[in-house]
Amino acid sequence: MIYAENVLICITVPLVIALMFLQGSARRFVASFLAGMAACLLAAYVGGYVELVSGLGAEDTAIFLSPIIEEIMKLLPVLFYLMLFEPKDVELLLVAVGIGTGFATFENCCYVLSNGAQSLAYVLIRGSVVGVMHLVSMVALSVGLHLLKQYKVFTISGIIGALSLAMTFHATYNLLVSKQGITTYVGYALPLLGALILYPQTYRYLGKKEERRPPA
Amino acid sequence: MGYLTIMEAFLLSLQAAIVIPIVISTAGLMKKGRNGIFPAFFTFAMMSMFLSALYCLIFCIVRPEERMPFAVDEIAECAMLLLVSAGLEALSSKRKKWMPRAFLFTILYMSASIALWIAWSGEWVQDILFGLPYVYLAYLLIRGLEYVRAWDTDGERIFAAVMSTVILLMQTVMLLITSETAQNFLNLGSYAIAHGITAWLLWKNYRSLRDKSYGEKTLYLSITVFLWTILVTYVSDGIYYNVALAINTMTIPIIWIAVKRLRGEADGAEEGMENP
Repeated sequence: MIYAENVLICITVPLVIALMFLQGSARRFVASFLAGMAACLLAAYVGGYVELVSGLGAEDTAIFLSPIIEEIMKLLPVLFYLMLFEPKDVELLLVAVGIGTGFATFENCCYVLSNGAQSLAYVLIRGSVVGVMHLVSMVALSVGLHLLKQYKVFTISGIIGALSLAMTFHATYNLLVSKQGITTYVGYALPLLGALILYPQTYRYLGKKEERRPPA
Repeated sequence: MGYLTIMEAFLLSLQAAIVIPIVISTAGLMKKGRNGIFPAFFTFAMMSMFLSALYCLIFCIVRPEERMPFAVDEIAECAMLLLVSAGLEALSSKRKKWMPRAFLFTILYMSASIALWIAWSGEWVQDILFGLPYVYLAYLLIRGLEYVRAWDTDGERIFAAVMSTVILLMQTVMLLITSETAQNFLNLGSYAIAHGITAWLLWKNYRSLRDKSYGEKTLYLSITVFLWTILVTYVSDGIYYNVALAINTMTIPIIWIAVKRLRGEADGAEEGMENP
């Protein structure tokens, strides 16, 4: 058993102090990173409760229900930021990336603390697959939200639609790696493939937007 | 892996393969403006549908003999219906007229359907919660079909309402009787009526497309047959489920044609305004 709250305090205190010395994008990124870690802890609480209520086992909860809970918890700070500050596209992406990496970092810390870090293969898989999966789902979500805003279809239905894309991506990964075999390797490749597809698309799109923007 | 699972996996991969080019095509139709908003919602809806089909396909492969618990595919389906509904709302924004008759029929019909889903699955919270988008879309469609005058006669409308209710009654009686012969008879009868209605709606869609009816009418008719075939999959089991799934997949390109026509009409109208 690990004390996740204690781990969170240990990691967040220097970052919170760092916020005082940072400004602009760096400050925004660190704040969203902290929000991502807090979202991870809250998702763990909710997940534990849902596991008890649903009657599904720990494994089935992790495969089928965790993606729903975790993506909702990650969406909430992004939505809060989007509605309160009406950020630019690049700022929204920055916050989404911060939340995704914060979530992944804290989750990885807890897993490594509870399962050990002796196996390099295991650590590599956790870092480059699970961590990237949280990041990719957040980038996809922020692009989806941004498109909804751009086409003026930013409604509850639209938000649920964008959220369902992130949830299904996450759940597909969980399902693929749930059984040993060739599907596991497909699952491991999925987040990296998602990152490779999203990276040029996102930046080409944001670059075009910046070009179109009239000079200040 | 049984032949039914293999067939389902094939149909789901076919559905995913059909949806990908549709997403790419409709993404190009996304524009601001009244008729341009529907393609935007529709593109997102098809993305949700693609991921839902992909998830179900992977489940079929990874866990072939298991019953899927509550999972994200239901949320994705729900999101797809909500996105289509939001698109229809945006399309008919200028004539938001309350239609009590359509509302009452939708509530009664869909409540009975949801009650049957609960009786079959026992998952009452899930069925009620995820039944709500069906109620919403069904109401918008029934109301929209009136707006666009999709029914040629009053008799057609009454025929559709009566026959769809007969299916529900047959399915309800099936739950109450114990005779297997009678159950099989009622089951086959309800499949025959359900697919008969599907064939009739497909015929209406074909006529609407052939006669170059205006885009909105074609759109409402195509989404109606799409929703109807989803509901048919829920009352179907075994091989009948796969047949219903195949027909449901066939209806997606019809919606795509209707969306393209709708967008084409909007472009034509804009050009007409620029060059009077």
